Amino acid sequence: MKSDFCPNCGVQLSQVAPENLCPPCTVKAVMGEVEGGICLEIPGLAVHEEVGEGGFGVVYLATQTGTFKRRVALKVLKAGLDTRAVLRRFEVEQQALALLDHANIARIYDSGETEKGYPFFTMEFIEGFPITEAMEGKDLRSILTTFLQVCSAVSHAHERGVIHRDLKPSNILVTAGGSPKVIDFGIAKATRPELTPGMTVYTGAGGYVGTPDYMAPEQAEPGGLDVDERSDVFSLGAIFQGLLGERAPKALLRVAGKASASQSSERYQTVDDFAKELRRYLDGGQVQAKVRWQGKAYAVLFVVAALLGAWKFWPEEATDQVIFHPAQGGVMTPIIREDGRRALVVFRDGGPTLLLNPATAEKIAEVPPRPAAIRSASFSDDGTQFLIGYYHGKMRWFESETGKPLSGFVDISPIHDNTVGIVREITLPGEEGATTFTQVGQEAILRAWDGDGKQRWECDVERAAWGFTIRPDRVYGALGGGGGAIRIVDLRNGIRTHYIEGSGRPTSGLISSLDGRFLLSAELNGVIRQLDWDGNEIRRWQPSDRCEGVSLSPGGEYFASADGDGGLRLWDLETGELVREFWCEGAVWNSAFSPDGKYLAATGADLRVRVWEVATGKEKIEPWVMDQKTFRISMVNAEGGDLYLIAGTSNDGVRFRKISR
Amino acid sequence: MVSASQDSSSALEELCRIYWKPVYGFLRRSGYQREDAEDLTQSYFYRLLKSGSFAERERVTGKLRSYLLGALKRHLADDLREKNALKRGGGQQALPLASSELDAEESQYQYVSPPGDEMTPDRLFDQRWTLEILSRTHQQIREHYDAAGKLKEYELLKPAVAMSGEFDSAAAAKSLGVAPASVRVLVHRLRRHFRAAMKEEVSQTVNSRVEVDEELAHLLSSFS
Repeated sequence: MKSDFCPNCGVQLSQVAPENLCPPCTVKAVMGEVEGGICLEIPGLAVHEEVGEGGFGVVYLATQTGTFKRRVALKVLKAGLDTRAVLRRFEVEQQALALLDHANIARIYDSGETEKGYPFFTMEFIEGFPITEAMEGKDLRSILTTFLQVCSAVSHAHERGVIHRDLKPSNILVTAGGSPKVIDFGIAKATRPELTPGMTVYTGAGGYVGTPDYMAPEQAEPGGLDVDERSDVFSLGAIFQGLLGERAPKALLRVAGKASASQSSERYQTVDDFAKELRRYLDGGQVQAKVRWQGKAYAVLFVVAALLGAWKFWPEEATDQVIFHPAQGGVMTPIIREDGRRALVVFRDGGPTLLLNPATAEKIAEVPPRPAAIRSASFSDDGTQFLIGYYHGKMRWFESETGKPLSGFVDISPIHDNTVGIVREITLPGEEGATTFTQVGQEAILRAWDGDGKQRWECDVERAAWGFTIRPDRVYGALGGGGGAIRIVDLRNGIRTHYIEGSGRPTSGLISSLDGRFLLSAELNGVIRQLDWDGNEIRRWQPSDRCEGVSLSPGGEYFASADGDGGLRLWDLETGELVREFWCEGAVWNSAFSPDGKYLAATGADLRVRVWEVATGKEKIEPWVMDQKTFRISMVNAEGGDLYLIAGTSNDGVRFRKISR
Repeated sequence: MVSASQDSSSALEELCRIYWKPVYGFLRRSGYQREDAEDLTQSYFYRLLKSGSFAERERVTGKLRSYLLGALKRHLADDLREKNALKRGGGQQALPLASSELDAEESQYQYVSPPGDEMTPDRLFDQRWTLEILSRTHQQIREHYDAAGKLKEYELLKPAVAMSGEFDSAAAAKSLGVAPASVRVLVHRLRRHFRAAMKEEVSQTVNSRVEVDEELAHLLSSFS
């Protein structure tokens, strides 16, 4: 007998509450969410769409109507706040806020009350990422330069008597151009006279560091009498600490520590003093940070000998590893161009997609996840371009050589914005221009588009699909998906020729044989099937009760199955026989052949990447111990004749490791 | 949405399956014991479809919920006059009232309502109606996420659809293996999907978009 209480309204939940969630709270939440301009009536504003939400309320994108059509951010505060009091307090601030004029401060334009009586503010519309996210993976110099701009902004405000009081990463947005903008000046004072400490969770390298407070201790005191400029110094110090991470130079950590000392008298007394120290460090000079230790004050001098410009990464551990731009969220399968000189890495959280040269392990460019997160990517047939599919139902072309955009955003989600799950561009036989295939969101429809963005056809594939493989002659394509069902589609006209039932578990791998005769499909429950393109099953295997995927040897004669019992099995496509078994000490997650087919690599639950010689079964390297789950592995030819192992980790981005032949 | 053009027995089953709980709840709350309430529920749906008046509803403005409630009250009035006409038997198939669910809810009806209890049969009907909508919405969303292999994401983040503020991302982020900032995006997306799906469910029971908001407001008021 469940007898939970609703965390929102405190009422006792009845047994029959769907998903054990409070029904009236759910309805209220649904009602409270406003969609584009329907419920918000504010004279002088056209409200477009919701762009964010937080503890205070919701933020919308709006345009000022009237002669001066300016894009603004409309922040509507949530119910429960005493509107009169809020607006009254804000009026006081507004006097001072009107004097703020700084490139890195978002301007507040107006305030008022919505029809329903909620307080709102309009402010300069800033599109960007919180500073902590924007600065991830950036070199020290960039971080310092950006942060100094923030300090300059806060200092400007202090000079005019305005204290922010709520500085935190989400209030410092970095735009696409790299400019930091501090938002919400003055709002904190108006809306919450008794502030409660803000909480944000940090991801340190490989783990969780904790929950730092950005709010100075004296701000938690009721009445807030001791709140002054030094409270903002504290917040800036805490933010800076977060930007630095654990492996930063000690000198900077001390500076950050001093700024965020618990006692306001121990901190830098002004933001300017704090900034001066940082500037000194940046210019390669000495940094003085008085550290209070056991009652005695020590002046500690650090001589900094850094050639900051040469710093690309934090001091590294192993020298044979090159760690790339750390990314949040795991790596999805890296897409490697045929010639092995370009690769695309898309991340699970939809963050920036990397364009790399895998032969040299260099990063060529990043595709920013703007205006929406990135879901899918693929190279064009001739490799000169690549396509990116976004979460908002649009795709865009880029040049493979440089990563520069070649087009605007093409809308391929006719009904409503939805995630572009599959995006693939090929040239069909006998045609001149290329055709792009897409599948969007949960729509079970595969669409084909021509080069002008016009839809050629659409095909009902009955259920959502993933895993899209194209027969080498480009006449047919096959889609995997839920339940392991395979749909075969004639790519010329969009007719679904076959629907082949699966074993009931999702497809984990789907590839076409090189000669185009067969399809290989693997399902999560370990069933691997070899079919012809008419849907006839030639044979099936089930070496274990789980299979994470299959990979084809470059010559096309074998395939390898990543099996849940720790086996990486090599099978002969012609005869169906088991040729060889390679063993890991945990379930195998992914495998890859080297381009010449001589070697086979695997990654798995035992957190090791292994490489074997295919012909002999001998281990080529000592198992490469990873410090985290590595879901994807690829092997490419490195410049100079060796091989690169490319490991796609779950937290850290992409790592390259060279193996000599 | 039940289409009047479906063959009658499957249409009946469909209707019953979706809407029996509010009807049954109303009857129990009105004082009927379990067996009688079950009988009456069955006969109600049977008559509803047989009379064809359900098909006509599609041309009438007004909300399905209030229509069904009105028809139920009329049915009760009639039943009192024709007590023996539509008992079990007589060629009727037993309808799929999930008996395990009937058992589970039995405790709700065990006791006599305390004095001053404001849970009238009408209010209970509306509340049960709301629960049905929520269940179906959750079911849809769950299926979508499952098909995308994201069932875990849905399970972890679904409490967010029942609140308006920020959703604590630490535990969920850890469990999903993503950064907290990503969780905010995922929550935002889930809310959007849920919101759209629920509004869609409600809009199928009313005749215009404007009525969706009215209906939601009414359903909310049945809980306060």
